[in-house]
Amino acid sequence: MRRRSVAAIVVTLIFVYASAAPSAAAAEPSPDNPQLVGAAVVPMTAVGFDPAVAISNGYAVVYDHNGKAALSNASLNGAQSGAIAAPQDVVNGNCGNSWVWLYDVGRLKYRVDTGFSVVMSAVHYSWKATVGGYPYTWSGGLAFRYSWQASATGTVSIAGYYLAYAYGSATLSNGVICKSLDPEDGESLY
Amino acid sequence: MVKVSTSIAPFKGVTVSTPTELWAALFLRDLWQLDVAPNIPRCDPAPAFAMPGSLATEAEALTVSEVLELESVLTPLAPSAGLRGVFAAIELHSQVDGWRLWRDRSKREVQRLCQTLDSSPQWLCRDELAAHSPRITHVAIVPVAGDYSEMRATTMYVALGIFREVESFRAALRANQ
Repeated sequence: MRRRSVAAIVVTLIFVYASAAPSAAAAEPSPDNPQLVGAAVVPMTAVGFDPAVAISNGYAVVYDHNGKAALSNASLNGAQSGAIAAPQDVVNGNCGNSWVWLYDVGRLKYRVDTGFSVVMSAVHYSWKATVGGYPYTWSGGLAFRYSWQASATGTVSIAGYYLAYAYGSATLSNGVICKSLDPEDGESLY
Repeated sequence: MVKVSTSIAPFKGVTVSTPTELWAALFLRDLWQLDVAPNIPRCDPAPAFAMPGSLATEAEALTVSEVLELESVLTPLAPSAGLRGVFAAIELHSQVDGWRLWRDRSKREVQRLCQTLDSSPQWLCRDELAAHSPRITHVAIVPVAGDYSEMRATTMYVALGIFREVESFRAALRANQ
């Protein structure tokens, strides 16, 4: 009898919890829409090349017969040639590491940390993160730094499970545009 | 046309994650000292308890047990009613603050380990992953002590303690190939 009444309380609590699912949160998870496993840390990959940036930073640029620009071999030291080259001539497909982490602060508040590290110095970035669909954007110069990170805080209107996403790219000093593979992180916010 | 070649294997994008609902279930299991899911070691560091000495009711213990013993608990499936029940139990016993502190502390540690390029374990092991563990696409960090690691589908669940040590992580990769 005691067990049945306690079970009824728990079932009621489960119902209340389920009813409180936020409309702004992600869609109901499924095997096709997994949420238990987020991808908080993912690589970045070279997707473009800005020859003007490369030239302005002292790199030699060559053009093929179609006018397509690429870094000159002479511009690449051994470490760079093993790590990254111009897009379309992607060597490793891997030019950095990007992440997003969502934290439950309490009282329906959250903090989202996001950023990236790249394999060589960078000159510019453009970044966006969303939490429950609410966007945060950043952009600017990097002054030859190898990494960038930022935090933002916010409040949700109702408790539940929320997803944070991050998107963006960094322009390396050799002109290569290094794009995030869009990390995500889920957290229950109360 | 400039061509640059390399012998480095393509990085296939292994991701790292923190399975929130599983952490909640482990928190209550160790808070209530339940004898369930013995293959998953105890949480380390131990959760910070807001109300030491709280005892699980039979039904709540059953709920947590169901969550932890569920075949799919280590797979990326939907939070079930049982998982929601775990959160409800955390709230019922006013354990939310303790749970949040413990979870954030563990998550922050994972973040710290992952943040520095070329020093975090999964980066140091990336060539090994690409060459010898092609089916691993996700690494999920479980905040428990001991040498726990388990392969489910394409996800390798590994204890935070193992993930923290490069050689231990490398050994876990080999064991799960």
